[in-house]
Amino acid sequence: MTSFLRSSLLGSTALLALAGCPSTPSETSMDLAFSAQVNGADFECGREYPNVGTSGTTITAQDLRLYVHDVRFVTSAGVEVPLVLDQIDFQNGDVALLDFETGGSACGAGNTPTHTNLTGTLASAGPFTAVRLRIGVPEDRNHLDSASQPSPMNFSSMYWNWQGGYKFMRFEALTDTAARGVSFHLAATNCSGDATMGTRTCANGNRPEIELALPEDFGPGTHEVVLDVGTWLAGLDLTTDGCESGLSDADCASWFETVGLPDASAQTLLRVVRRPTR
Amino acid sequence: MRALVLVVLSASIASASCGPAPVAWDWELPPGIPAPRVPADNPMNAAKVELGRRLFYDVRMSGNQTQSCGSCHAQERAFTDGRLVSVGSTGDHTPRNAMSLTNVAYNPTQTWANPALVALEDQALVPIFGEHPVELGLANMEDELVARLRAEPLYPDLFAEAYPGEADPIRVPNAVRAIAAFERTMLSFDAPYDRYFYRGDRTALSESALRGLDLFNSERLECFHCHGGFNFTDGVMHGGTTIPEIQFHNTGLYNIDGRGGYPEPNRGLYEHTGSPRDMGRFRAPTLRNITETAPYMHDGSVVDLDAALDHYAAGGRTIESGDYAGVGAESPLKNLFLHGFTLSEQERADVMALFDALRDDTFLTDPRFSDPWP
Repeated sequence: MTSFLRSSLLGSTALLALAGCPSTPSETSMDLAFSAQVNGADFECGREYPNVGTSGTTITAQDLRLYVHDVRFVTSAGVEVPLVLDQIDFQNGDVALLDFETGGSACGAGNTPTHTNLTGTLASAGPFTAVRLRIGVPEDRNHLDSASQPSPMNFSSMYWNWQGGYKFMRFEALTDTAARGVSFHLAATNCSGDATMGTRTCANGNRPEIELALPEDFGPGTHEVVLDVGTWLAGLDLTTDGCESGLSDADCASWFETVGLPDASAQTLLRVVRRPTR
Repeated sequence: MRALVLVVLSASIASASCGPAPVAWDWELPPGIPAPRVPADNPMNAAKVELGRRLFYDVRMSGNQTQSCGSCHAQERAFTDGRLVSVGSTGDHTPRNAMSLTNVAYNPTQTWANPALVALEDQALVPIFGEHPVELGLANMEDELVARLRAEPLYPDLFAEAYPGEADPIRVPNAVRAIAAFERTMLSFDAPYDRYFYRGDRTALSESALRGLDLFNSERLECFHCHGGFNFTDGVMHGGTTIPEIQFHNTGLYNIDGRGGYPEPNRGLYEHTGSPRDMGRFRAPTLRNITETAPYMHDGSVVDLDAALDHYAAGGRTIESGDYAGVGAESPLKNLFLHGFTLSEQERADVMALFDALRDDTFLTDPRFSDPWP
């Protein structure tokens, strides 16, 4: 299995080199697929999904995007091997935007292209026992003028403003239980300093570290990371309007818990599953 | 051999996708402002920009030779016309308020609510040739237009310089490209705001304007969501943008049917998509030079900046009586951030001070953008 995996990985290295910037031959390519669902059905803007949350809410999906950075694969010896991201439209430096919305009226904001795979190179071919990543934008890139930044750091709907920084995660849905629908905008808070002078920092980073155990037979073609909104929000009451990350927002504690803040092991957002035959 | 081919291929692709883009035109931008995007088939050059300026202000660009682009886009008004809606060369009223051309090069889409109108070259065709309504009124007069342009002594040399290598450059598409190239040079980055943030002059903004900026960027007023970034709008496309974000918003300006309806013929994005959710959704214009561009909104129905602030403070506009009566604040289609706010007199003055600080007098008086004709 391992040798099969290795050869398929090397095969895609050549393809990736053709598609983008050159990589050195000793690297192994990695393509980590993500899939967004609601109770097992594909996440699509405008689609209704019944029975979400403790309130049994019917949601109409509108938006689902999240920045991730510092992606690492962990070997059985416990060594972290950074995933060096391909530099493409949705990946810049070590930051990637996972984007499951398709723009247009049903989505409300955003744009047509999606990005559901983290692609890059690893300095090791594994085997790996876990993948670790952080949700959000790193502190040193969080307070730039988004409009002048390279993609994917320049989407206005993923940005508050200079002082506020980026929305690390954006989930929005219409519901049958809250007039304004429900939204979750994860961001750093309790910030001070002046972004325009490069001195802005935030005391509450709110960048969850996520660790996903990989099964022994893990392979990029056979497994994927699932973000199932139904599973993610199973313990939440969706009759309120969600969480904007505000310090005084009483709803935020329970929302934060679902993404692993402060307890990383409590996150219900992401899990690795065997890829269904499609 | 195969490996060699692969290496060569990947090297050539790498140089195309990873190398720096060639710099052909000096935009004279302050540090931190990205250069505009220029279509591959319309590269910038000085002769083309000068030609575009001449054509922009040339009344021969209208059927009855009474109007030019400049008739509805006056420099001293940040290239707007001061009217509720514009009046074409034959007296037709357009349904919309003339938009400012300030930094128009950065718009991911042009006009108020057309998701398909991306390039300035395409937009220019609408006022020049459109018949419903007639604006410049040149429909079916292409040959006469070319004859008029040939007859102007300045044009043959300018067209030839602007489009080197073309045997017969005086053509309608070339005229349109030149106008677009001129419009791309209409860059406004010398307002007090810019001198403070991009040019290092920490005296350029008053305490009041800085307080206004804090209010502008606050969760209380929420202005920045739709008017953010260096161009004070949520749609920006520059040379480094690969995936533009194209957004349109309903601000609760109308609610004529209790379901968020806007009056015809100004129903915004809905007119293009037919989707009920797109009713009343328009593009957020830049707030640069906003003090010079009254009246406001797509139909000019908001008379001044005080009234604009009142509209947002109320979370939508209430129209008491008449065909358009309705409570915009109760529109089910209005943007999430239109939740309303109250401003003290001082706070209102502070926000106004910020608007004043977005006025770029250099831009408003720059001779390079002025009417060159005697």
